[in-house]
Amino acid sequence: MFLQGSFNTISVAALIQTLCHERRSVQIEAWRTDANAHICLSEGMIIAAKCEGIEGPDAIYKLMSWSNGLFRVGQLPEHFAPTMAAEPEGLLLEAARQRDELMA
Amino acid sequence: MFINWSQGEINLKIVYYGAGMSGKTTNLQFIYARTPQKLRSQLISLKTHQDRTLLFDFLQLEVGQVANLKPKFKLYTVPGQVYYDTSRRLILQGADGVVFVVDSQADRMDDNAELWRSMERHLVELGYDLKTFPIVVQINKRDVPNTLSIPEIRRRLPIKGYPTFEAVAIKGYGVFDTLKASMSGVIAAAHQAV
Repeated sequence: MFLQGSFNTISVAALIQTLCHERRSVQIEAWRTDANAHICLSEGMIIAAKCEGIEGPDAIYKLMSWSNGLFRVGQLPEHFAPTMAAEPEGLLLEAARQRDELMA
Repeated sequence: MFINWSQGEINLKIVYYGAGMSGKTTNLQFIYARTPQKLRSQLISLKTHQDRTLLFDFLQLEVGQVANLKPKFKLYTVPGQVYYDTSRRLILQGADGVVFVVDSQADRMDDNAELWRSMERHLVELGYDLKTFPIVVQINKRDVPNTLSIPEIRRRLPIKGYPTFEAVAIKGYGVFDTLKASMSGVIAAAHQAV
């Protein structure tokens, strides 16, 4: 583990954007009272995502709705098998769009 | 601003901000179409009501280097409808400059003013200093009927003091003048920061 913190300090979007900008190959474990999430990044791409039992892009949209919670960032396990390959910006913007339209 | 040391690049983000249908997407499509393929990324397009959110990046070799780093500009549009507030804030995060696209039509002035206020609010909340942040104004759609005069638009919107360009983005007029002014402002700010 080389980074940990709270989503009160850095938003989900900012954390993912920063790690992807730096092209880190890492896993993010996140949790709050009744839920947890697991996101894997490799070379600037999101290669796996699970949140509250949901997988894939929808897991990112779900995680983006968290306004609090804790996270730790650690090394991606060797030989990790990707389950998706998505540019982070497209997913994060889509999550914001869905949230805006839901609240409209 | 994000420095990619391994690539020797400085990534600079310019956001095209403005009311729905003001011409932000048209600006980006025009720029994208005229940027050499080998210097640009893929165009990412996200559908929103009435318009689209577009983004792509390109290497700009003409403006010179910043601290021996090649500038790579990332251009974004924001969705203009009022309720896309979370999206606009997310897109403004990490911005190095804004091009505010004004729709010249008389009946769009309230929308222009509302989006200007939202831009200022987001920038302040994100910690930017409005006195120094590079904002360029493009007064678009100068070719359509029912446009207000430039002095009248200046009177109705708080754009005094910002570099301003008239445009007909759909024909490409003023598109690159606006972009070059924004890139110059962003590069000048980057020189001071690095």
